Amino acid sequence: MLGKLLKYEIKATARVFIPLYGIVFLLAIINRIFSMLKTPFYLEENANFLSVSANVTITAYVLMIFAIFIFTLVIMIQRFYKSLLGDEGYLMFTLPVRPMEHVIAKLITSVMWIVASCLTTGLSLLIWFANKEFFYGLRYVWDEILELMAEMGPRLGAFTAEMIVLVVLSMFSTILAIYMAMSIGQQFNNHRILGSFGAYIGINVAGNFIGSLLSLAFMMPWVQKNFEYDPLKFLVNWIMPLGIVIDIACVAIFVLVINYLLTKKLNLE
Amino acid sequence: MAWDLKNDRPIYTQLVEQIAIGIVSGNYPIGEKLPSVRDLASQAAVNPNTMQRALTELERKGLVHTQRTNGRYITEDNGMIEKVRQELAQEQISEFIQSMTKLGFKKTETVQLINKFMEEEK
Amino acid sequence: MAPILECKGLNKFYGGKQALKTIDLSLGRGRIVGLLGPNGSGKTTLIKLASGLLTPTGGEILIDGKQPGIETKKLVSYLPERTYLNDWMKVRDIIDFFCDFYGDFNKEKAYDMLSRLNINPNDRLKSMSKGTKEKVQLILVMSREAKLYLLDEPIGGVDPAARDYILRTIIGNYSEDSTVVISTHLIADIEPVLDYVVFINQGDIAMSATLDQIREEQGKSVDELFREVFRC
Repeated sequence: MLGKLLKYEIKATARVFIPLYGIVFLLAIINRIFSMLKTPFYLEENANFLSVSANVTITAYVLMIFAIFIFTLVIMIQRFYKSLLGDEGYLMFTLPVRPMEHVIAKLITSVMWIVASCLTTGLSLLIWFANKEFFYGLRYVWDEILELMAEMGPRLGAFTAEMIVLVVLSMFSTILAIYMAMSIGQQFNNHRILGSFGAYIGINVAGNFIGSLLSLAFMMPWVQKNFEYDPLKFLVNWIMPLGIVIDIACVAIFVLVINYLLTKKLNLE
Repeated sequence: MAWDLKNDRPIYTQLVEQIAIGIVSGNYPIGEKLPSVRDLASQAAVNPNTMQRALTELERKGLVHTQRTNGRYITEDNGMIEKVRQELAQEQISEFIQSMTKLGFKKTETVQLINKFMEEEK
Repeated sequence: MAPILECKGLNKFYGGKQALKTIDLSLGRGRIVGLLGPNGSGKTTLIKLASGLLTPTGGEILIDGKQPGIETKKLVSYLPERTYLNDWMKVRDIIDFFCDFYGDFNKEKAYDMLSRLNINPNDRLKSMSKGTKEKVQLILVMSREAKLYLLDEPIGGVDPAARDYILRTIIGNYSEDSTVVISTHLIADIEPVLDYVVFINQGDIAMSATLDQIREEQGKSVDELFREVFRC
């Protein structure tokens, strides 16, 4: 059933994102054409039609990139709030599917669109700017990275793996925190949206409080002591694994709370 | 067949009556197969269980009989149908006489009125 | 065999407000049940508890002997009193969606009913009137071969011709092991279709009996009785 939910969720969101991505690529192509046609605007004495339109499409491109990321966030929230906690919830929660499967389908789809939005941005920049100098520059950056990697030696593998896990987990916990806030907001009989915002602020305040308490009490002295001699080793062996553990704990708590609220405390109006 | 259900009596007794009238009037011919419960219920827009109950009642009266697995058939017994026809006529008459009595007509007066009415009809 | 729907000491509070008093109810299979009561009497609450959209405050509700969950959702076909379909989909897409999630969905039946009610499967819900949307939802719900149909105000917004067709569909769909619960306050229209009646008032069951039993004992239709009992 999770597969079917994913298929449906992707279908429901793709109809927003695909056209947006299309516009971004189109604007990138137009920008490239303009940049080949004219001398850079800052060298131009008088604004002519070409440079004016080039400026318009550049602005449009920048706005579209903003729009893509705002939409990624808005759709992530809206797909949870409308399709599970709104009228559509009447359909979704009467399907023979575990509530958590809905949450997981939406989570995976959201992560997918975050990644896709990043890739679209990168790719569209390539379309716009890719030329000889650009690749020289890229080559230079790549060499720097290789050098850095060489310095890290045997710890490189662990570092990369931990980094990827951390990024994915923090995406999960960030999104789940938003889902949890909405599930809590839904418990109120009135002002559910306000309740959701309140819950979200509450979750973050609580998280920060616990975090700073822990770091003040235990972590800071320990980190200061250890960071001095092999910072990289300390990072890979202790700090990042600790981050992973904390993120896993957060994800687990969020999942448990959401699951409880959606199975035992479902309160559709 | 048009179904006419009133509000003040159980639906199943009305169904029994109306199907009986259907049989007597030849709407459902002698020895023919009756439509299925579901179809009858659907035609009359009534609950299938209620229709089932009506048909069971008709079976009990002997107007309808079940052939195993084959469905329900109207009886081939002409005498039986005639008997029910007479019964239905009696009911109609007694109802009519009652209404006339309510209007203050004596029985003889009613008969006179009927005769007069029949004359004029010609 | 367990009753298809059973409530044991079931009650429900919303915050401090009691929506359903402690009720006991048992509905058999092969029935078409009218859940009758004025607005706000608890009909929808009871149906939502049965479909698993709400959880009881106390007592329990059992579908086919089981508490609401994945297994009961496979058996229950639920029509809410609101439109729950997103409007960007075509009717065809929604049928595929139902087909995907419900093993008992009969696609042919759905397309047949659509053509009977002159609804084009390629239309988007966005372009439909409220009444047409309601028809689509009812078609989806009735195209399942479920054990328990919970229809919350199924005939409220549709025209009389469609109402007639819907009632005939419910009758035509009748099977000995499935039960249809119809909640409504428009009793006269559906009365002949019912064989069992549950009156619900202020969160409590005021009466439950067979339809003909009521007519026999009271000498009046359930609709008339309803108007007397709930006279304002």
